[in-house]
Amino acid sequence: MTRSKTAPSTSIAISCRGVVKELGSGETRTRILHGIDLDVFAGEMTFLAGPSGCGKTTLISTITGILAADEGRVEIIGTSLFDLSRPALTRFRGANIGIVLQQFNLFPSLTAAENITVPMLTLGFSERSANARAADLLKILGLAAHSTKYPSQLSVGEQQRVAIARALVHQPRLVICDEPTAALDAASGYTAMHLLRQVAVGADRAVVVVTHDNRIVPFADRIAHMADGRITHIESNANKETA
Amino acid sequence: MLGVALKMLFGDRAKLLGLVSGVAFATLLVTQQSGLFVGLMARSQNVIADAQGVDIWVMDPSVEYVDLVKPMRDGELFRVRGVPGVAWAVPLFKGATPVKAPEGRAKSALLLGFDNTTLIGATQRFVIGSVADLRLPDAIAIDRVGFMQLWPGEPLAVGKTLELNERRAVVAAITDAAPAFSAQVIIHTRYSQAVSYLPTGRNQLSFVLAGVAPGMDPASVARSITDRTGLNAYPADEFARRTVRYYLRNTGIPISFVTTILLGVIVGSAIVGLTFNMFVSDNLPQYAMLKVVGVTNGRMIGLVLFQAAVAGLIGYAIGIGLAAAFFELACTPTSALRGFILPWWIASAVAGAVMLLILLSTVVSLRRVLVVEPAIVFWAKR
Repeated sequence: MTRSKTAPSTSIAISCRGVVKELGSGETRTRILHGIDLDVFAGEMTFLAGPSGCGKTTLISTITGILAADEGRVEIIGTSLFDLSRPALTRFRGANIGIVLQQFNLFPSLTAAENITVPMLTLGFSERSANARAADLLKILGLAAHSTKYPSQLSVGEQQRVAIARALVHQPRLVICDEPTAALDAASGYTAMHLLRQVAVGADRAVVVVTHDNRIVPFADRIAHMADGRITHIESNANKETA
Repeated sequence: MLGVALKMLFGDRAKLLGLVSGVAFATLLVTQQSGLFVGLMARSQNVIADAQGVDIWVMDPSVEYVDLVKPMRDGELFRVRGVPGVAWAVPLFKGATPVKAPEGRAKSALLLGFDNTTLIGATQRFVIGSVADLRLPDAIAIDRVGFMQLWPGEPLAVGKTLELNERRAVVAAITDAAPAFSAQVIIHTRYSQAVSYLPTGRNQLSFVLAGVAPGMDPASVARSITDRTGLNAYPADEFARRTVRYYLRNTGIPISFVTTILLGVIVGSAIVGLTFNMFVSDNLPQYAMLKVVGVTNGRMIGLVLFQAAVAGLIGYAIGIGLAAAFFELACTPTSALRGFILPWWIASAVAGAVMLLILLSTVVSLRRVLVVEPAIVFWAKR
């Protein structure tokens, strides 16, 4: 099933064609991605799996427009990233993509609720509507009592849930998670993925999860396996856990 | 988003303290030194400023500023009076003399002698008595601070005697004369009495003070005086400017103050620049995260400048407050720094300079924010 895709459940959220990315300069310049072809479908949670150094993070950096591909084409919900100027790309990412990072990258001087509001404030929403939406998400994620706490006052699992809420607050069409459970114990990881599956996956939304954590594999609809900068095969998850 | 920027700034209190301290230090030093410098320069022409109602100052052609006296012949007074456009002209004696209280305290004094009849040119600011009291025998008026230096701890009072160049004088009035540049004690008296205290030979006349006829322009009348008498004649405001300019060009005072002011700016800039650079370095992952969630470089510039401006504003407020406190506490009417003030335009100019300092100090840091790759949020873990 190399570079093939299973039948799409709905529309294509991400389309990568021949994506090449090199990092470094001069003699140390190294090709990280070797012509990636990948489709990610709305309504699904797609896992990118593979050993360390295989290019997973570089691929999602390219998908999110944080890194520009050297060759090939990336389309996100029908928009070609290559056709966007740098500022337009930044705005597009802010409006359409939510990102959850392994280290959460919460703003230490903002409370949990304030952290969650940042993407909405960036998009120009009023503080009032951002606060209301953040309060809703905190409630859904079981953090209502922690809204005024700072990240340093939260447990690792709670921080992860705040990061998830921040990625979802502006209702993006695409959520990218980079090793979302790497810093969590098994129970917290399971809870985080369960919440992500419940809240982030919708008919018009797709979630991509980069992981080498086999414990969370049951949450995937499909798994794209990577090795040495290439997609080796994509498989539907027969053991998928229903939320 | 400004609220987020503000919370980032206040969340790093150690660096905020460094930024605020740097700006406050620079503001205090620059404001205080500028205020003292301006006060000192203003003091150099206080004798001219205190002579209210005088339109033109006339002097020997070799005189460049008010503290340099080259006595003229008394007859020059009449020549000036004969120039068309001159409504009146009176003599002024100006000299330095030792003054000694009976109790033994001695000081150097500025002695000013005004026209016996009109007393034109004398200060109008009297604490005790009035200008008319100078008409009493042996009468002098001494300034309040001079009195306190000669009779420390004693209440201000008239009737005391002192020695002026070994001749008796009676304190008939106490003035609040503007402090002079070169003397601690300022003594006002009649012209005839002044020259008797301090005989300078055949020529006694230090300056001629003149008024112009109604409707006449002091500058053109001054030119007429020069043309007809060969003396230097300047409108009072121009003579004041010339005096200040003389001190600016011929003394080390400006260099000394400018050096201190520059040091304040350089040290303040260094502190602010380095601290802001550290602040930006430590917060680069946060700036990168802001880019990840959609903050463009254009908005990022606004956020960083806003953070710098807030820190600058707090530092400026503290610095200007400390400078104002200095002038309020140190420049009392009886202190050596009396008359020194913090002019509003210095406070405004320093505000502008501080904002420029902040801007320059943040330029390097700003560049780091603009070029930081948002991708570091992915790789920071490694």
